[in-house]
Amino acid sequence: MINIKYFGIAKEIVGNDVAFIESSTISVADLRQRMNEQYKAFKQIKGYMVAVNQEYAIDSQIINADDEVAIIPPVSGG
Amino acid sequence: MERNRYIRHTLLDQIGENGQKKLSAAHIVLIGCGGLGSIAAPYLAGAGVGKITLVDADKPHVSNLHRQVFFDVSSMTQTKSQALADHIKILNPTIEVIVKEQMASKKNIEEIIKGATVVLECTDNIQTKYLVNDYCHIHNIPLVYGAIYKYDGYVSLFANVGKESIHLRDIFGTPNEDIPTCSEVGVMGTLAGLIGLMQANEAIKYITDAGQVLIDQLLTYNILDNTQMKLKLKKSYKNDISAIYQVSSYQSKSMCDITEITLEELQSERSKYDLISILEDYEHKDIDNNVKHVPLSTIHPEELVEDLEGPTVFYCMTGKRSIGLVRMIREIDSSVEVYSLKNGLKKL
Repeated sequence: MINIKYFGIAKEIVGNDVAFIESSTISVADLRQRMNEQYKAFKQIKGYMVAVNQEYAIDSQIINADDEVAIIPPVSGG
Repeated sequence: MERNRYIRHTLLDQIGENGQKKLSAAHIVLIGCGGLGSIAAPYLAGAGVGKITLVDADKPHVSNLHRQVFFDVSSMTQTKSQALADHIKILNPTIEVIVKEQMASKKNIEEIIKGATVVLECTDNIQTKYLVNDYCHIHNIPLVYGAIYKYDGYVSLFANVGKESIHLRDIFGTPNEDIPTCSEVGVMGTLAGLIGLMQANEAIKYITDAGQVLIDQLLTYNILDNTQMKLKLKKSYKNDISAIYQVSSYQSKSMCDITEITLEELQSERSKYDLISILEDYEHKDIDNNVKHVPLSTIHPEELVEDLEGPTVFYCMTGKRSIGLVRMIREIDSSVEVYSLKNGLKKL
């Protein structure tokens, strides 16, 4: 089980602040793909940042169970 | 009286006389005087930043006043940059304030940023955020980034000491124009104030060497549950920013920008565009011998978007039908480069 926290518009797309995915390990690239498939509106936040344990995670990074994952969409307001 | 102006600062071990001198010698360029910038500016002026340049061509609107609290109903005819300058000059007459009633663009960015110790990027325009980021990175100018969405805010400081310095493109590689803006979805007034103040705070700390600044870190703040995260950033953007800068126009492709081009503009760069006549069969006329003809009555915009191969100009008799079509296409996908020929065939 991997715990994912959503920010900004990602929260609205998913409909929740926090959601789990049933998986013990997954790469960041696969997580992105899974999100894009599950939520069509994720296309709107393309280029979002994935953080694992409060650090920027590149696509090849492997996420393990109990890691703290955050999805941070781009924002333009000012 | 002036002797005591900064006494609450100079008493602090993290600022002191030395830090105050550094603030006095600093020049901060503040790009965008709206939700973030109009809050940051008075605090920077109060703190004694010696020179402040305010950049904005917009005028305050009554819908701005729930968060841009240093404007009022009497300042609606002035630009935000001028109204804010008037306010901070009275707040601190000892500092120099420069007003630039302009929107930052590739044309004026060099002139706007010239001589800056630190830049605060406070606009609500995604393209401007990348323009300022790229320019500051290339020219080694420290930049404080701020952005807000409804209840969430981001802050970071890009020190730009060299090519390895982390910047906006290491967080979000390319401008994403699909994210709704504050004017579309709303924003908590207090969030704009908090993030604008955090930007001012980072700039003051950076200049005075106080505490730890948000270099290589992105601070996220949610005002509904008060969660804060300090995310450690990594160098992830591999492209050469100077090359990107050369080819970028930093102009929004969205609906609010250019939807029409004139016959002269079309003809001067004819090879750049595909040209489609949307006139019906009975009225169709070619502009030149490289026109595709797709009558409007047969067009399904969703399918048409899929078929476009490059920047495309549509024309009709007066430019009315073609602009309607262009708006529909951009509604479907704002990044598609489609234009309407202004005044259609009337000018021919």
